[in-house]
Amino acid sequence: MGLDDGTILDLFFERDEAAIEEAKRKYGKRLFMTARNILRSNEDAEECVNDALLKAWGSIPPNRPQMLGAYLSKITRNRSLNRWEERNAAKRGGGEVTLLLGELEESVPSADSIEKTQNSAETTAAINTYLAKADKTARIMFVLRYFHGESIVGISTRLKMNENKIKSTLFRLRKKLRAHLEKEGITL
Amino acid sequence: MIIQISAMHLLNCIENIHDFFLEEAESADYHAIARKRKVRNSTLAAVGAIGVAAIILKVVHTKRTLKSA
Repeated sequence: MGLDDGTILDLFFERDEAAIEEAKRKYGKRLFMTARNILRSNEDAEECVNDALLKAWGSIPPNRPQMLGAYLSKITRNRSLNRWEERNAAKRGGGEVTLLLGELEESVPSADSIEKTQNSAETTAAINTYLAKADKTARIMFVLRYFHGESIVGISTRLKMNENKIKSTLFRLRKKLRAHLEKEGITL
Repeated sequence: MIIQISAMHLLNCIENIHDFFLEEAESADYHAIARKRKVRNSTLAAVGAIGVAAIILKVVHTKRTLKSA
């Protein structure tokens, strides 16, 4: 069992490089899985995890995240998606992200005449409200699939549910998310 | 105002969901969730079976009542 988050954060604040080792010991596996789900490459995933830990080293302090695991997961996911975009800039397709994008298209409402905006804050707030109202198991499924990029088989193994049940629950979640986003005035 | 987004933008926005949701997925007791679902399914099956039995009894009773009348 690794150190608790508070102690690891103290190491970051004391500029003790053991902070990176301890964070990796405690969260490395989880971060690696997220990066690997997105990139489908052990080497790239390992690199993204190391990049994420270095970025955390640069941002803590001044930041002192309340949930270190979630903080590191977000950096790793961001790094991995950027790497995925770079890798696929010339050649589209491949990997779990392509599947995730295909699925999420269903959740993005359409409209005839709209103003194109990239308003992340409002969209994130709408997603948070939607998730807060969702059933706990469905919410966990959503996070595993669309945050961590976990495969349907992986979710099925974790939750001990059959794959068809997972697929149908995710399908309903996407439909409801689309309706919720439309209600909030967010559209494709 | 209507905001227009793409699936990629939506995927990026999911990155900023509440930390709580991430921790919930990470620390969830998956065995307990599976157990709870199993109990719920068994309960639903039992309630369904009782319902079907009740309907059958009602039909049999109605038939007998009609016969004896």
